[in-house]
Amino acid sequence: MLNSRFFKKFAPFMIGAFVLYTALLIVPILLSFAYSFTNWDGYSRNADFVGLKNYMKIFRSAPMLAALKNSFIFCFFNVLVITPLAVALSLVFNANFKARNFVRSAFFFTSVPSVLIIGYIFQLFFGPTENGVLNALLGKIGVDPIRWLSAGILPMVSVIAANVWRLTGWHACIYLARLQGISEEYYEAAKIDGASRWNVFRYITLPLLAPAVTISTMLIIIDGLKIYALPYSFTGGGPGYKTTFMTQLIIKTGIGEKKVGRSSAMAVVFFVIIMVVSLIQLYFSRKREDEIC
Amino acid sequence: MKKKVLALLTMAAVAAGATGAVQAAEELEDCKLTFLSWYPEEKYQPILDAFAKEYPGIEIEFQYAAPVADYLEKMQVLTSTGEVPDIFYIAAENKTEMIENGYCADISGTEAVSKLVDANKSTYEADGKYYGFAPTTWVGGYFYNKDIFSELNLEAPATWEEFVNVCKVLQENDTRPIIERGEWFWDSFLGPFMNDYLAGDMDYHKEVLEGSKTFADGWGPYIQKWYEDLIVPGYVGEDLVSVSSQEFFSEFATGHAGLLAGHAGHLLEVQKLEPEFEIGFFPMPGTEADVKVVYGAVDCAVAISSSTEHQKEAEAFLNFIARDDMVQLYQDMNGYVIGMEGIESDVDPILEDVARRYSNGEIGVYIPQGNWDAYGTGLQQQLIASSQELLLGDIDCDTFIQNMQDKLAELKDE
Repeated sequence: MLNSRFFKKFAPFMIGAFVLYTALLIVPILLSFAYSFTNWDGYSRNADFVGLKNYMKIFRSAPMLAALKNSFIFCFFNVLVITPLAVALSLVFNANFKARNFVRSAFFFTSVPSVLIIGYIFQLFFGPTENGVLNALLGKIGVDPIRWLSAGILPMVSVIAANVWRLTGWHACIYLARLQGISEEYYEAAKIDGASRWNVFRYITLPLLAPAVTISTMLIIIDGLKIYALPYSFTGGGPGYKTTFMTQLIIKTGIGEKKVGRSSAMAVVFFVIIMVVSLIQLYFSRKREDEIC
Repeated sequence: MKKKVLALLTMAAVAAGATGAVQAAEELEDCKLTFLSWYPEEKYQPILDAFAKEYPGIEIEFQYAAPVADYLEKMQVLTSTGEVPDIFYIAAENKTEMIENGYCADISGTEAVSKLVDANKSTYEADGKYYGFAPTTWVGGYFYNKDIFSELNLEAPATWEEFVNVCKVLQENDTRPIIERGEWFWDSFLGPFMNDYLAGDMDYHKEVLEGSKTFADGWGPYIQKWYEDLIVPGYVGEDLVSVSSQEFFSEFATGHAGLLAGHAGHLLEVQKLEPEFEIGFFPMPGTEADVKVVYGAVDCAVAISSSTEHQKEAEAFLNFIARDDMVQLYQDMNGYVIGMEGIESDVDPILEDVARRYSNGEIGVYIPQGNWDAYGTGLQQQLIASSQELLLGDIDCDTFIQNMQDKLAELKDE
């Protein structure tokens, strides 16, 4: 229960936050939900109620199914690659060596620039012509140009690689914060017991990192499901729909095709999916934390 | 004596004109006009400075959103929140919604609109009224590397057959025949379609939208021809699906590609990279040598909000841009062809011939999405996705055409 003195003291902050949160998040979510039952085009002053028509259409839409699949593949591989790399990198960050601060800054820097800019940089890096940086470098060692952004699964691999590059350093910092909170006593006790380096990592570091793993994987999943700017500037969602993700498709449908009602239905479905995935992930992570600890 | 009289007359005319302008400025109220531009402020600055000098009481609050997606998004947000700027741009992608929903004022009676040539006027017409002032048109085709052509004894092709042969020779000599961006390479099918089919039925897309014709009727044979003549032999290479704007310019400017599909704006970008060769131009050819339609479109148009409280002042701004000297500044901004009566276009000499032919009404311009009304962006997105899938061999020509038809049905809520 709220203490009345406490409430009086902090009420302006709480009310301010509540108003902002409601205006910027709750209201748009409710509006999207309302629009999803209309045929609003984003320009008209009126919209007709169309019932569940938008919902029925989106589940028959091939681009929607492709985008949904792509979003999940993207998330899955981001978690799979970023998590071990970030944990390993955090151990390096935590070690004692001269250039430690520089290395921490260098890896953290990749998460600082605008994601849009990163997309454009990677577009030049993976460019298919002789002016593409990676192909130019490969050419110097006699390797023929590779169609990074068009051949088979390479477009998706390239987008995942760009996102891994962008986020690994940042997630390593999350693990580092947790590592620095682990008491030295555990390690000293393990040393006295003669535990190997691997066993120290396996039975002390990793279990105690579990809460950070929960937070990190949840952030990767949410970030991955919401990804927009990176594929927008990097691949434009192509070729075809190979790197089109849900957020892109929602915006394309609403802004480009002027089907705000339909794109709102997509957003509502996607919102529910993200919520369910996050809750499942949270449940299993907490369960795993309890088991490990 | 004659010279003195002429000088006096000229001075009198200038003074009369200046007085008229001052009077006009005095008749207007001091106000602030909000302006959402399609072009960035640094490009617009010369026009804004000249306007501020002539109309010191009218302040232009300039806003910019990058075309096309960001601009459309911003405009959509502004319309839905009732914050439509006093002056803004409309383009092929949103003109139907903006006009039909009453956001644009009828500017039929303005001096600016009266100066436009028919094509530029009619692009933004609805029910006999004009809603946009589009003073320029972009015309495009292929820019080519004259040095490579000269080395290989090639000449600018006048027919599709010659064009395919040029591509063949370029490829045999280790030069990429055509460079285009991943979202635009489909434009290489337009030459035969525009000149062999569309020139005889300029209402084709209108008929497709109405349902009396299909994509298969008009586009079908030409997509097939494009696939067989350019895609199968690899003249339009699979890697084009991921070519960015930067690579598009640099690949041509560094001499790695023989042909670049584009317009005056692209030529300016290539010239910035200082290519060490001479550049030539030819329109996209059809089966016969007689070019009737070229790749191009009337540019986006300046419109006035129907809800502005400063209609007269906004019209003054529009008429100011339409002045002969200002429209030249406007053209410097984009390098396109001026579509106004009695004003010659100061285009790059490389494009002089095609610009003259357009100004004289000898050729028409065509870009698919400019003819798709409210479905423009949706069909364009489908065109990009399906052309990429076709180039990568994921679908065939029939599926490509069917996808376009299905998308139209979906957009029409059929």
